[in-house]
Amino acid sequence: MLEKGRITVRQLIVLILLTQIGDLILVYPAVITSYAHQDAWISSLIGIPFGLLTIWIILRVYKMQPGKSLIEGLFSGLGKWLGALVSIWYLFYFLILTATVTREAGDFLTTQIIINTPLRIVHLLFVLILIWAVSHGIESLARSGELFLPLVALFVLFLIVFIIPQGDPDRLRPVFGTGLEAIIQGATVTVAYPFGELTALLMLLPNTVQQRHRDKDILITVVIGSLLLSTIVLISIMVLGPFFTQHNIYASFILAQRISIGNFLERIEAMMATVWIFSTFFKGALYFYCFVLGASQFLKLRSYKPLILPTGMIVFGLATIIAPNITYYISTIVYYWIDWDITCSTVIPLFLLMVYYFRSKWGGNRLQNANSSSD
Amino acid sequence: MVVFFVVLTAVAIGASQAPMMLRNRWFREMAASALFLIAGSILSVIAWKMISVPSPLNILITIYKPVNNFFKLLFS
Repeated sequence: MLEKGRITVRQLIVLILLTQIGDLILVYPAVITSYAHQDAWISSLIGIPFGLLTIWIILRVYKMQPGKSLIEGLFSGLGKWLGALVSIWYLFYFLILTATVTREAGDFLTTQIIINTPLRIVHLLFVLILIWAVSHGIESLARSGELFLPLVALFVLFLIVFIIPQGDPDRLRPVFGTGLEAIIQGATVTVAYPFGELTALLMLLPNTVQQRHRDKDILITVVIGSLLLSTIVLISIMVLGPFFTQHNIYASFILAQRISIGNFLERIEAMMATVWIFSTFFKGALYFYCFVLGASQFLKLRSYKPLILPTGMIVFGLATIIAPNITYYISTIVYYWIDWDITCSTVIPLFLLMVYYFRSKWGGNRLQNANSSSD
Repeated sequence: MVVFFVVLTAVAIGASQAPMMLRNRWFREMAASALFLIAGSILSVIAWKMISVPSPLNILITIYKPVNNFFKLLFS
C-alpha cells in the first residue's frame, strides 16, 4: 500500500467542504450567472439533485472495488491498455486542476491585493507551500483542514449575514424570465463545478477509516456545501444585480468590499481574501496529492515521495502555460471545462459501473472469486 | 541565465533525493523522478521566460467542440 496514512470520516468531510468552497466562491457566481442571469439561484438549486447523483455514482463505483483507489480500480476494471489510457486521462485532469488552482490564486492576488508583484513569484510561493504540505502526507493535510475549517466557515457566514441588508429582491425579477433552457444550462455548471471536482474522493476513499455512516455523511456534506454556494449566488444577484455578477469575476470579493456595519466595520475584504487563499490552497493540495499518488500507482512505484518535488516544478510551469490571460480560462475555456468535468466525474464512473455490472452478470464465478479475494 | 538556474534547481532536487533511492535500489523511482524533473525543467523555463506556447487546454477545445455543437443543434 503506497499510502499508510488513514483519515477519519470527519477529516474527509472537512476536506470535501474545503474543496467545494475552494475557488468557487469567487468564480462560480460569474460562471453560472452568464448562463441563467437572474435565475442563477434557481439553476443552482436545480443542479443539486443531479450533483448528488454524480456523487452517488462515484460512491457506488468505490463499493465495486473496495480498497482500491481510482487508478488501481481502473486497471482492474478495464484491463491493462484501456485502464492505462483512462488513468492518463485522469492524471492529466488532476495535474491541470492543480495548475489551474495555482493560476487562479495567483491571478486573484495579483489583480486585487498585491498588484505590482509578478505572477510567477506568487506561483512560486504557492507551489512551494503545496510541495511542503503534500510531503507531510495526507494525514497532516486533513488535520490542518480540521483546524482551518471553523475559520473559513465563520468568515463565509459573516460575509453572508452582513451583506444581506444590502440585498434587493427586485433584482431577482423576472423570476423564470430567462426560460427553462438557460436554467438547465446553468444547472450543468452546478453539476460540473461543486460536484464534478470531487472525483478526488475516489482517490482518497481507500485511505479512510471504515465507518458505517461514511456514505451518508459524504452526501449530507456535499449538499451543505452546494447550498452554501447557492446562497452566495443568490446574495450576489440580490446585492450586485445579474449584470455585475456575470461580469465581475471575483463576485464575493466585491461583496466583501461592500460590507459596511454602522460605517465602522468596513473594507474587510483582505480577511476574506486570506480565508479564500486557505480554502483554495486545500483544494490545490488535494489535487496535487491525488496526482502524485495516482502517478505512483500508475507507474507501480514503491513510494510517492520522490515524485513530489518534480511535480512541483511541473505545476509551476503549467500554471503559467495553461492560459495566456485571464479571459482564456474565464470565458473561452469554461464551456469545455464543464464538459470535461462532467465526463470525468459522471460519464466515466457510470461507464465503469456498467462494466462492473455486466462483468458480474456474465463473467460468472471466476470474477466473483477474484473480486472477493482482493478485499 | 534562467535556464542555468532551473537546471541547477533540478540537479539539486535530484542530488538530494538520489542517495536515499540508491541505497534502497529504487531504480524505477529514480527513472520516474528523472522524467518528471526533465519535464518540470522544460515547463519551468517556458513559464519563467514567458515564451508563448499554445495552451494544453486547447486539447479540451478540440475534443469537446463537436459535443457542444451537437447539444446546440439539439436545443435550438
